[in-house]
Amino acid sequence: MYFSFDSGHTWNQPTYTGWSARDCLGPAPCAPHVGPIGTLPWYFEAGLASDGDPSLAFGPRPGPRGFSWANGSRLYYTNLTANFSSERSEAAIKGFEAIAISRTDDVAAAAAGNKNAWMTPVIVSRQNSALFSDHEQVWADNAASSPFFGNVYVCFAAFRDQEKGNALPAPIKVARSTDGGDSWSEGQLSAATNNANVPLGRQDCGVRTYSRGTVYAFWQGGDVVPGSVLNAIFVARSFDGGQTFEKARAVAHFDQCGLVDPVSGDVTFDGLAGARDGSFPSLDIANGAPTGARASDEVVVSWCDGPTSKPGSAVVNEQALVLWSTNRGATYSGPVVASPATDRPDFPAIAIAPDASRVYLVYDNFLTPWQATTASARGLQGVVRSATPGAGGAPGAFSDLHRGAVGDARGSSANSLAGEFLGDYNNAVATTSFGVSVWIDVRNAAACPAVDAYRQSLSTGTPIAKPAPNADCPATFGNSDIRAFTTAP
Amino acid sequence: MACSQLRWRIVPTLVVFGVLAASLPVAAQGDSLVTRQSPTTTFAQNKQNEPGLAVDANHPNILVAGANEEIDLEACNAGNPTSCPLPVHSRCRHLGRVLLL
Repeated sequence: MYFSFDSGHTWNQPTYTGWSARDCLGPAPCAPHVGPIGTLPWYFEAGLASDGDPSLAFGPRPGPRGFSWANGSRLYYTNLTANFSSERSEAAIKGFEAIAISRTDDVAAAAAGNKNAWMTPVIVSRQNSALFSDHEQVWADNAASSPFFGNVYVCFAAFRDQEKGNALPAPIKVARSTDGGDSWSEGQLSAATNNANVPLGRQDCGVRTYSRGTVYAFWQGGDVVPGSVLNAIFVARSFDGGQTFEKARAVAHFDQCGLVDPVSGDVTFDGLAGARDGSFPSLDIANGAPTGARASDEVVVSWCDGPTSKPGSAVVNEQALVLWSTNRGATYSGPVVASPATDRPDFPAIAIAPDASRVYLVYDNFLTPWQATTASARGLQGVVRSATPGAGGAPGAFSDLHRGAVGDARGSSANSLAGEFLGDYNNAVATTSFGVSVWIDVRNAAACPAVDAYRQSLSTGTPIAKPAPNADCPATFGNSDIRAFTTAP
Repeated sequence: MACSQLRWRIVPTLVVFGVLAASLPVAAQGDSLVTRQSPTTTFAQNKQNEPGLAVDANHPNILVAGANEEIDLEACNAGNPTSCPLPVHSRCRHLGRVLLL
């Protein structure tokens, strides 16, 4: 993890101890051992492996009289978690992947490398032997005006049949904690079963709260309409602190961004053996945190809407759309287009200031169309935009705050080398006076002709031998980074 | 990992190599590197993606980010140089197409 104490201008990454292969630089086979790590501590000691899908939130620290900002702040960090050992008898969790949460009440000590500043991880998801809990998001009710101030919520997709086709059914769940993350209970927001004729399963959720404690959970899934099933953004609210949720409803339909890649079978944004993408919703609420005062409770939601043009077409169809509600989610307005017509926005993430004075949007912009060849560069840059909500809460016209340096997405890679890899999302946060955005950046990642040729060959049925990336490629191949932009002075 | 079992079966398409044409525009600076400990070389230790982010609403100068961080994985050239360690952060993708009933 990475800490900033100057509003996002500079960052540092502490080093802890855990299970490490950091010094395994070849050519000798690796013998991992306890050593320096740059990730969450205490997982190895708990028989766990910290995986991916990071999500973070700050809330109030619990004290003898309950939650109060006067007690300090608590940082929550969730991620996918697997058993460290492959031996069933040594398993710490059931199933393939669980959602775990790490917490600290002392970010200064954590940032300084003090492992003891972190509590040991707690398993959030209720696991069974076939469950793959996936792509979670955490949120802490951080408005003191809320009757559920301090509650913590984690939404995730529960792929319940990992051994069989498409891992369905996959309901969306929300787990909640009322004791600062020590214990969890969970409820289900969508149907437990998936109709076999409805392939658009549910996943990619987000969760937030408004100033009076209502919980909003959004996700993407398939909406059955006469004659078809459409990709849709769903929402469900809880009015009792996450104990129960209203019936889910679709608030928007969308066309998927990206095309099906012949190599991976996944949907990619930029081409053959390209970077997988999604159109899942990013959301935020102007809940007036930390006090709840000046809350407008405006809800903003953003996603990528396509369709992506077929290979050979230079027509740009993708848009970052923004939907909003100013009546606490009763109805939604928009969407408006928040990206310029020339941009191809991948992974849009949105944030609204606690007083709704400003909306921020970040995405990765592809400068090239979907390509059937890996021989041409695939330009990629981070973009940060902003708008001022006007009358009725409409976001107003978005304009650029920042465009990052351009890199070549072919320089990113899945560890299998079979395609690019950018992950699945970016992120943004907003305060009353500034916004901070983070995105995946490839400006310092060099494409590798040997890997490009290998990826292309995977589409032919007669693939060439897999290259050795650290011998056959430029030294900076694969060097994707996280970069940040802040509007703070 | 587990998601590899879930891919659709797609008929491979033969695609002819194009000509490398990489004249990409240069953009502004002004952003900052978050993954500061990450080495620029040695795949996959130099690989980070999928950022999370939080701000402390009560102390808004304090932010914490997370990422899929591979700095502690073995380099691909440790042992078999064509084999890279596999992280687990692979999402189960089975969405994305409109089905006409």
